[in-house]
Amino acid sequence: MAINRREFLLSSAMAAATAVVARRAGARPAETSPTAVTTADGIRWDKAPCRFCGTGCHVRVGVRDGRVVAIQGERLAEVNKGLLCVKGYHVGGILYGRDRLTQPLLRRNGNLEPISWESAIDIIARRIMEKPESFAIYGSGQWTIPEGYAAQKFIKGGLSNNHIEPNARLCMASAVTGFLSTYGVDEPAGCYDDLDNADVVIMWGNNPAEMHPVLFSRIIDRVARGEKVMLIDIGTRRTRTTEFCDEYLQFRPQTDLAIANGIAHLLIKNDTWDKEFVSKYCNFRTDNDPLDLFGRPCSFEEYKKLLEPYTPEHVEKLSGVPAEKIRMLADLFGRRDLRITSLWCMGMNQHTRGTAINRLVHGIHLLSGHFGRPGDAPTSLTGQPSACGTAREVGTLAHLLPGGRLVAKEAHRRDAERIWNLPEGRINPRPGYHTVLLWNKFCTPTAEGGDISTVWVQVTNPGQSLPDLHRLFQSKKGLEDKFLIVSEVYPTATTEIADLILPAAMWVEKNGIFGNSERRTQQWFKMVNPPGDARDDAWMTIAVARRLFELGHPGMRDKDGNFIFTVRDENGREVPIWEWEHYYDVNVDRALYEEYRQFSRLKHKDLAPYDELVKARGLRWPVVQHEDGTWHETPFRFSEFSDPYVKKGAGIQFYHSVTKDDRALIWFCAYEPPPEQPDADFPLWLCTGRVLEHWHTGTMTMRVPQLRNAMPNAYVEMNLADAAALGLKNGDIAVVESRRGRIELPVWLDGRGKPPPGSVFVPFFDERLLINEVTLGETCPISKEPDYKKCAVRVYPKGRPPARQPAIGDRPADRI
Amino acid sequence: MPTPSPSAPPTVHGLVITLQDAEAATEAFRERLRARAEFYFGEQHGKWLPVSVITDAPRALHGWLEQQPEIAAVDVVFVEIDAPDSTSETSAPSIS
Ligand code: SF4
Repeated sequence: MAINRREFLLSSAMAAATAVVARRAGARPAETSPTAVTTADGIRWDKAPCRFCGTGCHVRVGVRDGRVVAIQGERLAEVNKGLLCVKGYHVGGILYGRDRLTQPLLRRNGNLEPISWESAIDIIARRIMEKPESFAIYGSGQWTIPEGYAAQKFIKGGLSNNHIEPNARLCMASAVTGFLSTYGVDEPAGCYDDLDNADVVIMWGNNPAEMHPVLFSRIIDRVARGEKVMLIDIGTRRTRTTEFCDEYLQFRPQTDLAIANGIAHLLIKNDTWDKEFVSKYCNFRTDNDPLDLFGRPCSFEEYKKLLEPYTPEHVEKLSGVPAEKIRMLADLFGRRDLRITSLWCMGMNQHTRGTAINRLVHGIHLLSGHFGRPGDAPTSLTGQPSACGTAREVGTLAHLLPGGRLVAKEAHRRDAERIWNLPEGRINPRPGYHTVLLWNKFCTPTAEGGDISTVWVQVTNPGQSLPDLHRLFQSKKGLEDKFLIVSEVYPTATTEIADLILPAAMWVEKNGIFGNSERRTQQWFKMVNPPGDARDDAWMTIAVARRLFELGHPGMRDKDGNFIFTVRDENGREVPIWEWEHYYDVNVDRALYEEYRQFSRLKHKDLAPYDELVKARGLRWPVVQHEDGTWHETPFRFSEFSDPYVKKGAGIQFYHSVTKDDRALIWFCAYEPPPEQPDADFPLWLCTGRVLEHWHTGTMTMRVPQLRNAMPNAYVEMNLADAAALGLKNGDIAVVESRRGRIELPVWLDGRGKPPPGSVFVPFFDERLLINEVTLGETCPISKEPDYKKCAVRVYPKGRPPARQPAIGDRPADRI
Repeated sequence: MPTPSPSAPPTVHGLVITLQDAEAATEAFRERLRARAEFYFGEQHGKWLPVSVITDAPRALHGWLEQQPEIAAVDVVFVEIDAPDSTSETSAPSIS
């Protein structure tokens, strides 16, 4: 009997649901293939990580007639065990918005006109030839690992200027500096298995129910099975996550530092700190003045003295969290019989003292010995699918080389030059500009010191996601000698002012590799063709490099005179991968990744061979080969039972320790008030963030009808009493205004999130309502990550401004 | 506050329904679901019931399911992508 497409999809949907039910009921999951299979209805199923958040769920992508037709959760993937969140289920739809960019466009006399790829590549190359030192690439944690690696090598090994940054600077730079200054090496020691083993999960300014839903459901599933897991939400507003928590501790913005210090104070006062763990594995540190990454050593006695003021009563006064709740937290950390996992994401990272709060949360885990056993872990999550894989591991930040190494260190530069076969001295020792400075320089007239003249944006949307947009992005308009190149899939707020737009392939329209939040590297193959003339970002970078090679740029040659992106076929013949027709003659991803993999072994971040990734649903590094030839991942780093790099008998070994003695650092960092807080003119706190349905700036998810219909526009979430006092009702249009800008938004009262009196929340996904015209450009002095979570605003009904009208930009904090 | 715009064309979804208890999926319960959308029920294991459903408003249906007294949680495990002619665009800044 013939079966139609709809019937087949219904039976596939039922099969997927039945398999998940069977697994939940205790059955072994039915086998699915890590390689592509074609089912009876002609749908070809292949594996890929989800395109969106850093959770890194695996999907199975169904393709028929050259088009993605269905998505299901990968049942055998350890990350998600068959589940996906609402975004993940609609991930296939992001390819098919009607306004996909399909041809290169050049702005002439204010209008965008189609041009050929050849011309586009030539224009970029000639611009770089003119002023190589003032060219920058701005990418993201959505770059695949090979794409980011190609851009990294091009800038640092080819152009020698180090002006490369990912938008990850805006979301996890403080986590990086927190890990580096605590353990001497970046990225979490634990993994998602901690969520299956913790007795207590503390969310620090984190809303995983909306931002990392599949991870959160992993915890909630345990609760549903009757397991006892205590959930604590330490936040500045009630969210969906709060509804599931046993405790909600509401704190005043910025005072999380005081709370962490209050816990450490009590651990010492109550003598419940883990003396054995600390004496074996830790040293103490505190800040220098001015602040820097590694601070200065301090004794336990000094550490104890510095913590003395942070009594529960003092912390209550600063934070608003009742003293008895601070005692409750300290009592939990003081118990050895419990396993405690801390989770955080943007709340702790987008913070003007982001490095400090990251260090302090690591510190209370170390001080209390809640580290190194499954379920005992301080774990930061990432917002982007490859923030860890591409931004942090490939090191696409202005000061890094691949594998977590530094441009400022001569030995590190020599290693990179050796792997890249470059002449000694090619890599510039001076770090490039960090994100906020880079955009500030680009938007400043050249005559006034704006020494970045051309920026090439790939896989991100700074025209919406940068803070203080008027100053850091929109003021590029009218600067005649500045040139903005944007590789994109859809028109965005960034393409609005671009001078050259390059249509890009996305997700399963190209080969790719991502690295998720738990050190898991995930590979996929191209499954469908991109629309029109859209092409891979890595190809664009290589094509520009080749054009520069032809124009005689010396940096595009290695020390033997060969092109720096030479890729050979199995017979040793060079393949002209800069020509699009030949780009897929070889697996360029594999070639770039295998070259990059050499860096990973320099800092015990060993990545699996490409061919092992093909067979797996992601592998967590370090991935080490055993004597029998098999490759093994490492779920728990620094712990002897899991990490092959820990010496036998050591128990725990921080083998990249800052102090070179295998010990981690427990930091004291003082609470400091934020640079801007509510006052008479701007009396409310503004917090910004994401929503369940949309991913970051909404470029992709707003093109999926189901997601757009569920959350069609941004809003300002207000406290009921504040709204009543201002005469605002649900759905009214309000003006949200800071010293930097103003926007108009509908009011949402008693909605999904519930801000306390004196604060409002606005999501940033809506390109028509750019809340980042209002946010603050201040950064953490160490990580240089901006604070999107707090600035002072006023809110009033549209058309009824308050009598007092302070000037925009009247505070020094508004200017760099 | 967000106001949904008109819904998308019908698509196929695979769901896992976690029931409040193993006895909750009575015929009356199933009828109530079928009255709301085109539901197909798979074999229940303990508290977990696999279903496939055709709907043009999955988010609304999801919210409605979660409000049913017999249901503790709903997980989506399979989604059909819209038919080719149903894709849409945002009111993105136009390219001029
Ligand atoms: S958006 Fe994140 S949580 Fe949702 S399916 Fe994708 S990776 Fe998983």
